[in-house]
Amino acid sequence: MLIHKIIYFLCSVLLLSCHQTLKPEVPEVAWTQFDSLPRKLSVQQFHNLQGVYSIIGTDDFGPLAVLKWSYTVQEQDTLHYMSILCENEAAYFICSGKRSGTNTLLKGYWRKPVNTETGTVRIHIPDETVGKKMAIQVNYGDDEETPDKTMTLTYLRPLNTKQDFEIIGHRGGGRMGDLLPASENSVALLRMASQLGATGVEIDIQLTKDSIPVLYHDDKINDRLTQKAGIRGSLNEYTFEELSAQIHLKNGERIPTLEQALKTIVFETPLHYVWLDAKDSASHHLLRKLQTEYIQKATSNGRTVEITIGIHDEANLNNFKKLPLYQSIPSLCELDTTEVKAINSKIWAPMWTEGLQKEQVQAMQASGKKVFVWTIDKAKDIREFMLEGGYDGIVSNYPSLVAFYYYTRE
Amino acid sequence: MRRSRPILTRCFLLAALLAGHINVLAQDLPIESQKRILFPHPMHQKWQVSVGVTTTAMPSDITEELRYRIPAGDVHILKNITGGFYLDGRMSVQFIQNLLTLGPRWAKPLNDRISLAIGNDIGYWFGFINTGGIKTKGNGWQNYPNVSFGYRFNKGILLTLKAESMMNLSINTTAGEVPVTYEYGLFSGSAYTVALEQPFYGKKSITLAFRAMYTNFYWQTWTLFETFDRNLFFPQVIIGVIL
Repeated sequence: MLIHKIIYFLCSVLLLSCHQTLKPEVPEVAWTQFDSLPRKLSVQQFHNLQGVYSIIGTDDFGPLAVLKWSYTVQEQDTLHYMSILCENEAAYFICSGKRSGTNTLLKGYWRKPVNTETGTVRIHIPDETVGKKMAIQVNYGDDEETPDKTMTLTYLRPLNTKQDFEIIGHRGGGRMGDLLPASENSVALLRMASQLGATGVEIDIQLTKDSIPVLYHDDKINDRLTQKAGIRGSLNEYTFEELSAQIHLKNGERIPTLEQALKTIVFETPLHYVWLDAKDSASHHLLRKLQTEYIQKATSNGRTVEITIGIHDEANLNNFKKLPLYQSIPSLCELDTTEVKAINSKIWAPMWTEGLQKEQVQAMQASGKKVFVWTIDKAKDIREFMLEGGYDGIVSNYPSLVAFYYYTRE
Repeated sequence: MRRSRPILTRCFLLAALLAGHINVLAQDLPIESQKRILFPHPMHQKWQVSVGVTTTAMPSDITEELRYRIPAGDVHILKNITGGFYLDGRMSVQFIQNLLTLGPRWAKPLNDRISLAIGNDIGYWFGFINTGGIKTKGNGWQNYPNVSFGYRFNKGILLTLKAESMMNLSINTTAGEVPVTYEYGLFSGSAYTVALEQPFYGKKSITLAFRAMYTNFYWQTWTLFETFDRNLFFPQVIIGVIL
């Protein structure tokens, strides 16, 4: 009967439509003019393009854009990137650059992490347009389509850097749920964090069975963070070697050790702040050893990298207090301000749900402490805590949005 | 692009297909003598009441490591009005968070076996939860315009396919004393239900339904204060006994 066929058809459509959200891949479209060029941009050439721009010709990304360059070091080669950070839906562009005669070319992709929108971008900047009245024509497209849409970025002013402010990427730069091309708490994401506008990162630490601190958030090995594997349970049931052999993070990376993570941050990125959020408070002595070692290594490398041990509960606090000379150890405390003072933490980090707490924030700052708030992802809240709350840093899954509001401050 | 299809979904729908197929040739049962709560057909009784449970799987994108599926107690009441019109009211109760919906339906049989209904439900959800020492509370108004297609198999098997648009009219949440910003659009997604209803023990009937929701806001996740502006998949299984 026809009606049965119709019912079967409708049920089949429903059956086949039951799938989870599609994950956007990083789109790439060949651009012969760019791809064939050997010459990379110099730091100065990237620097000349930095600034706050108005966006004309589209409402896709908001009225303003922040152009900010960053770098990563890979195999002794320094790769520079230009990030374009926008307001709408935490949109960001990440481009690499090359020189073609007297022109600067930028090629990359854009993404809105609150949804799955993404696309390609090509930018062609003749040298004669570079300057205070700079107008940059940007071609962008959706998904892997050739970028056939146009917008113009018109230079307005330099980036705000007046306030000392930390833009902290949660879990190394963003959550798994944001469908970034790198997994949360992975080395790949740490390399990407500064391209997302972060100046620092919060990373989650757990111990393996053989007492190696590694980066991982959840209590269990699960499908949220890892590809399907033959092992289950807690990380501390397995040695690091077993985990390395059997576990891939969602985007294919291995679970990194804390040492690999700190080495990446110190030697391969411009990040200058690290919040070590230890899930296992018994690991504090191991964290302390690596903290000391990598602060020194950063200094030897001509960099200042602040690494703090996070204290988030009583057990954590008690174990921290067992460390020799704990009051001189750089730490961040999420507990109340009395505890912050008692252990001489450098940073107080209340949760955003506690509210702005202006008086306490000012009191802590007056006593020489910094105050960071976690974890804020909504634009209105980011603006409020940054502009009204007077905080010294914000932890966010959307560091690009925090960076946008910070650099566009007037 | 990667995708995964929940096995539960597939099993349920295959079972639904098989159940329908097996009963096609069985003995007929007149519609007037059949109890129903989702099947779109003009009511013959003054009232119809169903009690049951609904369980919803939450996507890990927003629940992260918390994989909870707290069933909600359901009370579903239909009130006959006149000429194919009736009122559809539903209470979904988890005590700490609850949803009430109420709306009119108009049902029209197209022939002996097929019938259609259109309706619109207004929903109000509210909740009070202490999470991590912070008292959170929330409420919101929703709207669910819907259309249902029903097919009556022999031997009292009623198959209903229902499509709903999910709309947010308001969302108000606070964590402690801090109002939580929710940037929401009017249209938050859609839901598709396949339901089977059939006689059960005694004079009761049973409802077994699967509802696939694709939405960027599902009221039971308000405490997670999620920021995504993309539709996530919330599979829901509904079991009810029609009294």
